[in-house]
Amino acid sequence: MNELHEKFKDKGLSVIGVTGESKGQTEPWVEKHSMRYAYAYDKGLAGMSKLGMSGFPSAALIDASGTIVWQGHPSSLTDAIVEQHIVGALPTPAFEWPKAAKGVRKAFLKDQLGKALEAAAKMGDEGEDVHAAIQGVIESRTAQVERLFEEGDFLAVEETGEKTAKALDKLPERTRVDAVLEKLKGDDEAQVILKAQLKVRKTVPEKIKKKNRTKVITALKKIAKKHPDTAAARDAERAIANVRSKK
Amino acid sequence: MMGDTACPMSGPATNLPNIMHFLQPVQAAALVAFATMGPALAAGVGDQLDVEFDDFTATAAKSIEDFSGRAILIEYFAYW
Repeated sequence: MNELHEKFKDKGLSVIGVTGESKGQTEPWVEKHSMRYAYAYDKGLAGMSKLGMSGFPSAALIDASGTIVWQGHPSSLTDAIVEQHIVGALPTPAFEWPKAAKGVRKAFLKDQLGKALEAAAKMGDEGEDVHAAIQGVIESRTAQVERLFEEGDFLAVEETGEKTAKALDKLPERTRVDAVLEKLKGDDEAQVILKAQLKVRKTVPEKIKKKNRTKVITALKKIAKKHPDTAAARDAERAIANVRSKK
Repeated sequence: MMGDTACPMSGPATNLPNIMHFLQPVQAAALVAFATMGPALAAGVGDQLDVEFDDFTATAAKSIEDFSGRAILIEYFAYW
């Protein structure tokens, strides 16, 4: 992890070690192992359970849009996987931007990309890097909506698209996102898959009683069979695996 | 109330009848309902990250939100 941290910290990746142990147990361990990246505490391991992880060590990679893109044992994470998912990520975390970028950071964390870009432009030469970083985020988020449509994940297009359109506000890239959302509305086949994806989500309750698992799995299998080779089938299969993995 | 009695919740699952002895009927009913309910379904690849961590160390960040716009690699580790 130290190696990954050193290799990718200036290219958009933040490594965060997380533990459910106490500070007294953790800090000597961190020092002994010369851990050079940030770490935090997950009391009761509630986050670990939410992420469906069990066993130590376990890892999850999240892209710049906040989407979980990989999970597994840290030793199976390759540089290629990281490189694939750091595209468009901020080269420097917003909390490390110069003090003068306070307004940019505030707008950025509120997901107001237009305002953030405008504030960065006002910084002049000092804001050049921050401006470029935000421009990179704008491009990658716009491209992400377009890519999701190409991949046929129409539920993600609808949800990510609307959020991105709002974040872009009056920026020129907004027209590209609006165009994808319009295309989705007018595409009858996409609408059928979108409805099936919503049905998958509705079929799986946040918590599921043991006695209802078979019923839920049967309903999900039905959706997968009706919409083969689509995002709805993928969602249904993933939900089935998730339901089955619960003891 | 349990007073100074050792917490029955810390015992193994086979102690359930003993636990019931300590609980009021309403609490017991809640415990039975909890026991038959599976855990919340976990997030997986494709889902949005929705977790909170405390006491960030070796960083100026105070919360996971401070890393917005970055790719994040979360590694669960234990000292043992």
